[in-house]
Amino acid sequence: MTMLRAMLWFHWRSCRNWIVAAAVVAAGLPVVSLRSSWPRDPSQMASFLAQLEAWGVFYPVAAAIVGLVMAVIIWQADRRGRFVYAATLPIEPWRYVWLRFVAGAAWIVGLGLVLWAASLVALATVSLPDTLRAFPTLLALKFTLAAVSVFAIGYSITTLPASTTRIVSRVVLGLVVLQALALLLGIEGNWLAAVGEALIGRWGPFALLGGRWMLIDV
Amino acid sequence: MTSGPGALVLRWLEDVDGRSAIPLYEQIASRLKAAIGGGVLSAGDPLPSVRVLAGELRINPATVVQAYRLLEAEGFAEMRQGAGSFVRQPAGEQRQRARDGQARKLVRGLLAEAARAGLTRKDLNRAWNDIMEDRST
Amino acid sequence: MTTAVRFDAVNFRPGKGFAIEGLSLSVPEGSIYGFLGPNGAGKTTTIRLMLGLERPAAGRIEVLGSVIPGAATAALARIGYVPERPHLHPFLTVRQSIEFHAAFHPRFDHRWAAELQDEFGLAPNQLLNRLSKGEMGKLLMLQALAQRPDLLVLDEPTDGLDPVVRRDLLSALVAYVADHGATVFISSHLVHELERLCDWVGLMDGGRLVSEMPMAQLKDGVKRIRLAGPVDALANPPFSVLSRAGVGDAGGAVWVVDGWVADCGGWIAERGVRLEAVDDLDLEDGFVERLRARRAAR
Repeated sequence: MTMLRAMLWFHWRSCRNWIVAAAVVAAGLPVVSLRSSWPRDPSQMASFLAQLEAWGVFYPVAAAIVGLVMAVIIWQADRRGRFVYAATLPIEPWRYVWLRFVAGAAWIVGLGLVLWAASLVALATVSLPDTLRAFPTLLALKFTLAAVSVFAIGYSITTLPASTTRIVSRVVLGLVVLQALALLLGIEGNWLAAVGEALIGRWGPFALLGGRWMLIDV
Repeated sequence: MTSGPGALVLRWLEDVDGRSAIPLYEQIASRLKAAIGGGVLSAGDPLPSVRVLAGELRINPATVVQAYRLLEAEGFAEMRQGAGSFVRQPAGEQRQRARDGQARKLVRGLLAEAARAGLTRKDLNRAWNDIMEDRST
Repeated sequence: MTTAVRFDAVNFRPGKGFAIEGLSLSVPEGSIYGFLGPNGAGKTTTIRLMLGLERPAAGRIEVLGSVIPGAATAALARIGYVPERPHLHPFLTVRQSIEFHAAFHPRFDHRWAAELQDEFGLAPNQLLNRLSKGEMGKLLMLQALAQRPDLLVLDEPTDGLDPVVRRDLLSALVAYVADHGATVFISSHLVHELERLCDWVGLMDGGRLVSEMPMAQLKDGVKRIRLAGPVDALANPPFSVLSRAGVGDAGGAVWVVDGWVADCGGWIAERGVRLEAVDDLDLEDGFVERLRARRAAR
C-alpha cells in the first residue's frame, strides 16, 4: 500500500502537466458539447441530438489519447535513468511493472471521475423533456474503460524491451506507409481501414471505442 | 561537535597519517599516551566513542577499537561495558615504562632517518647540543 | 570468517573491446573493502554485476547469501547503493525522493534520515535537478545509509566532490559502520582516501583482479630497497621483484619488491650484496608499482 501510494504520487510529480491538461479536456468535453448543442427553442430537439452525436466522436478520441499518452510517458522517468534506480529497488521486476500499471490506471480512473462530475454539472444546467434521458454514469464508465483498455494494450507494448518496442512501431509505421503508397498508385483495397474496423469492431480489443457516445439519448 | 576533553582529544589526533608506515592504531595510541602523560587528559576523563572518533578521523572503526585495546593493555584506559572508554592514570612504574618506550621509539625513528640521509652520530650530537643551547638562552 | 560478496570465475563482456575475465573476489563480512583501479579497469561493471544489473556470461556471484542475479531482490533489500552517476529522479524534491525511497525499504530509518538531512544541510523542498553535485552526493549517501543496509556498495562516492563534502560523507559512513557493523564495498581511484579507511583491498586492472589482500599486508609487503654490489647474484629471491632500476656505475640498484619480510635482508647479505635501505611504500605507490609490474608482464 505504501508502495502504491508512493507510485501514485510519483506519477503526479512526473506527469502532472499532462494529467492537468487531460483533466481540463475531460471536464470541458461534456460541458461544451452540451452547452453548444442545446437548442434555444424546444422544437429543434431533433437537430440537438444530431449535433450531440457529432460531438460524440471526441470522447473515444480523447479516451484513446489519454490511454496512449499515459502508456508512453509512464516509463519516461525510468528510461531517463536507464532503469538503474528501479532495478536496484528491492522489489521483483514484475511487481514494479504491476505497480506502475495500477498507478497509471488509477490516474485514468480519476480522469473518468472528472468527466462524470462535469457531466452532472452540465446536466444540471438544462431541463430535459420527458422523451430524452441522460446517461452521465454510463458515459463516464465507458470513457474510463475505453481509456484503461487502450492504456493496458499500450502499456504492454511500452513495457517490452526498448528494442522490441522499436520493432513493433517500425512494423506499424511500415504498414501505414505501404497503405499510403498503395492508395497513391491506385491499388484497390484499404486494408488498413479493415484492420482498424476489426480492432474497434464488436469483438476487437478496442470495441469500447466504437458505438455511440451520448450524454443524452432517447 | 563534542566539547571538553573529547574535543581536545580530537585536536590531538587530527593529523594521524594514513600513509605512514606506523600503523594508524599505534599512532592513535601513542598520541593519547602522550596526552595522558602530559596531563592534557587525566584519570576518569572519557575518551571519544568509537563512532565519534572514527567518524571524525574517517578511519575504520576497528582501528579505533584496536588503539583503545592497546591503551587498555598498557594501563592507560579502561573500557566499561556500555559506557565507553575512560582514561586511567597508570601506576608510576608502568607510566615510566610507557614514557621510556615512547622516547626510544622516537630516537630510533630519528636514527633511521639520519642513516638514510647519511648523517653520522657525531653530526647528530652536534645538532642536539646546538639546539639545547639555543633553548636555554 | 563469512563472506558478504563472492565472485567465482565470472566472465562478462559489456561491449566490444572490454571484458571481465575470470574474476574471483571475496569480501569478508564486516570489512571495509577498498576496490581500487584506474578509470576503465572494470570497477563499475563489477558493481553492476554484484547488484544483478548485468547477467554474467559464466561464473557464479553470491551476495549476502543470495545468488545473483536470480535472487537479487532478496539481496537488494539489504544493500545500500551509491552509484557513480546519480540515478534519482530529477523532478522530485529532496523530501519526496527520500519518501519514495523509504516506501520500498522496510527498514528505512526516518529519524536518522531527518538528522542526516539537517547535518548535510539539504533543503527538503529543493528539486533534485537544482541540487549541486555535492548536495546530490549527500542525498545519495543519506538514502543508502538510512535504509540500514548490511552491505554498502559505493561506486566512486566522492569523485569530483570538494574536500568538505567528502569529509562529511565519509564521516557519516564511518559512524554508520561503527553503530551497525555493516560491510562496505567502496570503489575509488582516489587511493589515499581509502588508505585510512579500508582493511581489505582489491586491485583491478583491465577487467582482471590484480590482487586482493588485507590492507596491512599490502602496506607491509611492498618495499623499495636500495642495493649495492653484484645484484646479478640475487637469483630466485624469496620475494617477488615488481620493478628494478640501476643506480650509478658501481652496480647499485633500486628494486621495488613484494612479499618482503625481515629475513630477506639476511638472504641478500649471504650473496655478497649490501642492503643500504628498506623504505616503506604508501598505498598509492604500492598500487602503482603493482599495476606497472602487471602491465610489464603482459
